[in-house]
Amino acid sequence: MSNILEVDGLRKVYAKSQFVLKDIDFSIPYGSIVGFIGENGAGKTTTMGAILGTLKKDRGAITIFGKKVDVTKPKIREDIGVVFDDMNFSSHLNVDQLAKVMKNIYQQWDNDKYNHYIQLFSLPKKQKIAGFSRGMSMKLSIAVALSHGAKLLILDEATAGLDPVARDDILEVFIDFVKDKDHAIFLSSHITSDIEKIADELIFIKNGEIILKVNKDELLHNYAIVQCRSDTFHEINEDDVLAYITKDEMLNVLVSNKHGLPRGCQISDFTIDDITLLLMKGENNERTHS
Amino acid sequence: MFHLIKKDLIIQKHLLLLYLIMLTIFIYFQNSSVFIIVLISAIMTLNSFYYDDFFNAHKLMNALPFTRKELVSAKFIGIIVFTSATMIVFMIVSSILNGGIVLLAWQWIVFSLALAMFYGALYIPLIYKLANQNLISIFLFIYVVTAILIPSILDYINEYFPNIILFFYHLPDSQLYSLLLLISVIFYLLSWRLSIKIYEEKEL
Repeated sequence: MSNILEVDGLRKVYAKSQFVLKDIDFSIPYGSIVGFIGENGAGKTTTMGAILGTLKKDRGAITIFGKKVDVTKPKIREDIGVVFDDMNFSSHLNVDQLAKVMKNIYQQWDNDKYNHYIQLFSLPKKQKIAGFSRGMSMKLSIAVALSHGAKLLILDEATAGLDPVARDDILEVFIDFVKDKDHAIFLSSHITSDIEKIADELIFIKNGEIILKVNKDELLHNYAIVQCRSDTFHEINEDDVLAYITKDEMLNVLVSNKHGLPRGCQISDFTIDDITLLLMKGENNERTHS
Repeated sequence: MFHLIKKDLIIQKHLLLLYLIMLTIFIYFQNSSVFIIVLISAIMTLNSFYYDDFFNAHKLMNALPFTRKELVSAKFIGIIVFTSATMIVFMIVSSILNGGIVLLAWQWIVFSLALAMFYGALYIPLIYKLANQNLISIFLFIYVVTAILIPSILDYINEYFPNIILFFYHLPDSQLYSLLLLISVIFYLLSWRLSIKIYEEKEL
């Protein structure tokens, strides 16, 4: 068993908004961090909700720790740490009181670990959560998710609202979390630099459909954003073109193989943010490269 | 399951003193014991819903190792726990205020439980279905207004349908309260089942 999470043919239809999550397939290997990238409303939270059972899926199978997920058997959630971007704990509680609540909920609750993260994230123990900033609340949610022996973390915009220093600290914690190859993280974030920093695999989703699944190393070594004229563009192997945007008379093209480009293509430095923009705003990005 | 009820209690810890003060004032002014016991039990249950909704906790709760059936059941069992606990505190406070042991008559215990269950059976499925925080205040208002109007309603029934009052009046206490409890329990169980169905079908 090499995958901690497998999503197979996941489909979810929202009749009112006509949004459809279209046959989502992906897997998360043990020891990996998988970044889930997409615009607001692309289907990231819906996918995560379907995995966790907060939303009903219309079709498809979800396998976690080698077992098919069954909403009537919630014990599996003991081993899943969750952070939602809009998750809030009762604001009347302080950090210590929250630990008392969580101790009653999770059998494997580890108070020492919780206190370790509270200290690491510099959270005040006696202050009511009501007085916490968004960043502090996110840190608290992350501390809780890390303190009940979870093997899989599902993080929806978990780094939102954090300052760069705090984000960096938390990303280090995430890297440390998967080090033993017995854990994994599935995270979505609008801050693609965070994903770029820690993720091993990237999944891009647009309009409820996965448009690109790629290993980060492969992306950095083989993929490229190139500028070229229209005539040169037509010389690029069609299978290598993932997306393109026309700007004036030039095209910005995302290619999956930068080694076989025709003359006249100028490779430019790129970030995952640039790739995301091209994939989301560009044309001809229907193909999924796994 | 009981961990969820404990969670609802911990979250309202800051209000427990307020509940105690309310109870003491009502006892001091010798208001109806059933009214205040059911009122406080209802406030505690409705507040647990308020906190779940206000802090968007439903999504979080559904990511915890509990089924939706357990989450709903915790609310229903919570009503019985909160009502029983309020009755115990009622007797303790009454004993202190009266300078001697005060025990609630079994009829009042049964009536309080039956009324708390009946009332809970009304509002819980509606809260799950409509998920509107305003409902919580509306239900408390309805309860207080109904409690105030009950003597007038009974007078009205007595005037226009005296046989109904006479029928219940002539029933022995054991039969009357057993009947009351039976009706409430049946209604409660039906509502419990309906609430589970509503919540299991809900998208969060």
